[in-house]
Amino acid sequence: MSEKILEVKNVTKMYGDRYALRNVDFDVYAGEIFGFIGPNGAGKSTLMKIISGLSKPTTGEVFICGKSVQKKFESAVVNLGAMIENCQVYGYMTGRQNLNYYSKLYKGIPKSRIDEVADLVGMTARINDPVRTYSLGMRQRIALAQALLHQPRLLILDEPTNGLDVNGVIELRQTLRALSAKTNVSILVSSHILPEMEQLCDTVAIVDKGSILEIRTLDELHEKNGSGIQRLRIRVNYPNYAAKLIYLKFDVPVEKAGNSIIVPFNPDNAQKIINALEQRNIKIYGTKIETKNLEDIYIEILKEHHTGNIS
Amino acid sequence: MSKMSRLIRGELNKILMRPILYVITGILVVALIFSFSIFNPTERKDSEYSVGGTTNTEAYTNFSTHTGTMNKSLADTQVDTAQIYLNYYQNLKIPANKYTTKFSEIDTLNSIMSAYSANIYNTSSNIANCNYNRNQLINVLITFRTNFNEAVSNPNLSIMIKTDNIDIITSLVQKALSRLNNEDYDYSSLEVQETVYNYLINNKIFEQLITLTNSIKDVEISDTILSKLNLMVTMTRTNLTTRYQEINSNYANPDYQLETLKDDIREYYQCAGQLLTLVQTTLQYEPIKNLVDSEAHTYNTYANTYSYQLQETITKCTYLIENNAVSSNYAMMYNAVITSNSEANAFDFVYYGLELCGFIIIIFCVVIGAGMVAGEQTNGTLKLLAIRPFSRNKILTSKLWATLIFGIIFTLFSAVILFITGYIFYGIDFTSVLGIFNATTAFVMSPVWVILIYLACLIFKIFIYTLIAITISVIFRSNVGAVGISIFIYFFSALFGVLFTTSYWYAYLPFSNFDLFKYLGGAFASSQANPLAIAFSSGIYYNMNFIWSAIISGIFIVLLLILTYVQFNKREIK
Repeated sequence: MSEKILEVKNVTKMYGDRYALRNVDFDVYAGEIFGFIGPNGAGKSTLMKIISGLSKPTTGEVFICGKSVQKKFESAVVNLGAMIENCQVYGYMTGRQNLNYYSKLYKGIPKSRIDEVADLVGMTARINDPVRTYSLGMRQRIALAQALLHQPRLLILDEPTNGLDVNGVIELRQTLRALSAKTNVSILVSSHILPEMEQLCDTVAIVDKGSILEIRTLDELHEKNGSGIQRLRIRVNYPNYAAKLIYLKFDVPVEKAGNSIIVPFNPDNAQKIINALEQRNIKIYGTKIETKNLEDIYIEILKEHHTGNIS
Repeated sequence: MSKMSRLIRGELNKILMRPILYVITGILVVALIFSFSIFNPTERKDSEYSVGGTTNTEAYTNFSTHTGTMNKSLADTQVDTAQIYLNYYQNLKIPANKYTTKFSEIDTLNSIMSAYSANIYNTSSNIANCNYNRNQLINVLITFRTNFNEAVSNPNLSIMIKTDNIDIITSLVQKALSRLNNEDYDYSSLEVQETVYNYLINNKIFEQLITLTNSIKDVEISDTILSKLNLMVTMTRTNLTTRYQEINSNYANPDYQLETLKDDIREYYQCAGQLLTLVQTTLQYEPIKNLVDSEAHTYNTYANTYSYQLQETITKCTYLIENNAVSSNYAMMYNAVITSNSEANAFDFVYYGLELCGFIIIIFCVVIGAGMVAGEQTNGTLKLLAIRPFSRNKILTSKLWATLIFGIIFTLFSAVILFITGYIFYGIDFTSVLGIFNATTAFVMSPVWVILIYLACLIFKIFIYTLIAITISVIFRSNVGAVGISIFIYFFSALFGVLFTTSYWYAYLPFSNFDLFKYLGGAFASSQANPLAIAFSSGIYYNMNFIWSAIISGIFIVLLLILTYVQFNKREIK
């Protein structure tokens, strides 16, 4: 079992009477990319702030590399690099001056490291321009660069893809993946853009209203929620007729979506269904086997949780 | 510690990279040029004391015209009169808060006193105008007698005073006749005044009045009494000013004898001493202190503000007399009018220019300090600093230090530039400075040390205003708010110094105590000299001293530090 880099122990944060976080408890291991998924206002940013010491938990404690952020702040956050919601670098300085400033705050970061990091986030070309001339995406990259400067063991990224274009998102993903593989850094990343998280994270935690509903590796999630529930999507010319037919003949739940009908996928009856449709002269324009994605699972878990709460 | 220095260096670098720095440097250069253009050493030459005026030129003209109208004996008699009046009123021993029917009696007594002295004054000047004419003199004496009798027609007093009438008149006539017989004698109204006052004092007329009024119980102090006291202090003060002018005009005269100068100083010293006694004794006089009407306020203004300055003057004179010296042997504590050895030099210019530059530097430290806390919080950069391995305490300390170092750099930069400019244009003079610490201790010090102490005091002030700005930033988190409030406090404290120096609670306010340099002997000078010094240095209430101000400022600083650090540690950084 690999080393625990981040331990969040029973953290509760209250603003007045309102719970922003309720008994949040999880660990992040070395080299793990941990995704934090939840709707706006679920408490993602609050947790990020508590982990980085910007805010104090009402109860509970956070350990980075075994050191308490609340009690031994300085020795704990030395292992932390962070980029927390709309964080900004200094606009009147150039990118290089900014990085230089942050690198001077740590002992023994060589000058060459600045170029290294700039290269890593793809900012080499513009590093000597003032930050105020940067686009939002470039600022985001410089902010990422400053988080990487001192080679932290734990990297916290709050909504890192905000303001990035499609290419930027892909590059960022590749960068983080490579980084995690190369340096064994643990990454805690929060987002509400699910497809992105699905492609990036090893483990995800689904949060809502301050509590963690589910922590699983992506594989586990798929296993638990997704196996056997692969679906078959068939595009036809008479979807209403086809749906009725299939329902009557095979007794399976059928959904309609535009010109398509969706039935649970089962290798045994897939061929039968298609044959049956063909027999009735229904034209099949295409078929596709769909697996449930994170989005579906997420919605299901939220739903499950809410109905659970009600009952 | 190396961690701390890394952090401070980072913060300082950040400040020095800010574009606003160009603006600051630009404004500072303008200030330097401006102070050079308004600094006019030729007008300051030969003049140790200004008699007032809106500009230096005007003051200098006033000074030149006033020197001819001096009168030593007049001054002495006025002080005596004041002293007598003081005794008179002090001995009234009027219980407060009791209204009485006897109120009118004390007023009558007052009017008699006024009429009495007015008559004496009129008569003596009439005698002076009689230029060797016996008939006119006799007419004057007759008028005097009539007026006097009218004045003392009050049955309570008439018996006592009437019996003395003859003596006074006889004395006056005898004196006057003897003058008339001796044609070479320069006839002067002062002689008559002296005679009259000597007579009054010798015959204990005032004491008799006091005894009389003591018998009148249960009376409330009246406006008339207050206005009398007020007049008394004004008179004595005018006299003191006249003396000062005399002494200074004599400095300007190359033929004047050193011994005569020393005599002048001695006289001035006595005069100041008398005024101080007057002021201090009346300050202890409860009914006056407790009165809130405008007369009492005006009176207290004199008493409270001049008390410290008078003490300073006396200490200075004592030192000069004891050391057998005159004040032009020393350079004076700096201000726009009093200059070292009556010739301006580089040190004067440094002081003069720093009054202006210091003001600008404080404002910029406030702007920078607020920007480093509230500004960074607003634009989100503070977050990236707060997640570094530095405790909140260290971050705050480094910001405070960095701003202070920035202030020190700019102060020294201005001082050096001013010194070089001053040296080129006005030369340099190492004559020692005669300063008075806490108004009680005279000391002689090299001007270099004085300027260094001045710089230290300025930096102390910069520190306090920076701290105020940072405290407000931490509490309100708003950059504009912090800058606005701090600068408002800065101007407000200056305004406060001008408006409320006379109130007893003035000494307890932190804002009155930030300027420590004034306790080195600049109190009297800075209160009326440099237009900037008037605006931005606070006055001294009579019971304030260096230790007091240091303690009050210290307590204020500690409170602000505790508030700031506790708040910043508790704060969630958004």
